[in-house]
Amino acid sequence: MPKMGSKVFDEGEVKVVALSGSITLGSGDVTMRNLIKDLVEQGHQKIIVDLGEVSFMDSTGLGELVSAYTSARGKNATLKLANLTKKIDDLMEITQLSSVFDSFESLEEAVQSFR
Amino acid sequence: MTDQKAASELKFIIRVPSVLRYVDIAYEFMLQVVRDTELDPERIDWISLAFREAVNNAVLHGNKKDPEKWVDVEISTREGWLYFKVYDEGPGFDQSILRDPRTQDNIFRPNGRGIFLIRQFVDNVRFLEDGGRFGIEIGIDLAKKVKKES
Repeated sequence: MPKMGSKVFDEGEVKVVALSGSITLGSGDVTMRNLIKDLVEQGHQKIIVDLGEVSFMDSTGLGELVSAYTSARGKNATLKLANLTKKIDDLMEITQLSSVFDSFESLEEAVQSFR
Repeated sequence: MTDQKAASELKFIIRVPSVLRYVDIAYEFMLQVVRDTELDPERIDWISLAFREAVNNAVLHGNKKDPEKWVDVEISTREGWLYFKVYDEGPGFDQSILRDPRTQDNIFRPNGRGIFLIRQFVDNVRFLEDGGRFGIEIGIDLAKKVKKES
């Protein structure tokens, strides 16, 4: 199972965290949490997590997304999701986390939503 | 394994140390076995996730990641069903503490979705106590063609 990879870049004033591989217990969960926590603590207010290259996510990965969301909200930052695969979209629906996160079909749409 | 055996019943037992990086080995092993059954390929992703949640729970919550403790995994087929049994050496848990992670009170909690997801993706779940071991049995009806929806 591929380990989690990550890339952070700017789209104007928006920070994009592009993740890849698996976000599962022991494989990427803590890294994701720290990545987003660091961005929030640096004062970034607009964050997009791009999940287009994430092949697998378990309940721990979902929990880390929730933690990232609540820590962003606690610092008045906004975290949105982009490029959910069908599998992850289904997981979000089943757990009803789709009601928590703003999700967009493409990174461009997610960036646009901040303008 | 003979072809005749493959056509009837399978039974594999593996013993995994309670170390997170070994969960992947158990997972890959399970995938190899599941691909040798008549399981609808469309369902494999979801069944695999259920298996992973069960092994994660055993390592993390059952054995508290104690590398001296074992997680025993049994994968078998019987009468058109695929079964995963996952045992740990923990004391088990009170099932009444299981919450619905979708409610407003729970949706922002980072944990508590593992057993819920297992129940969404498989056809039967039982908790087992067997000689000091605590376990979960996951049953999958191989004849089903579509994944179970929420």
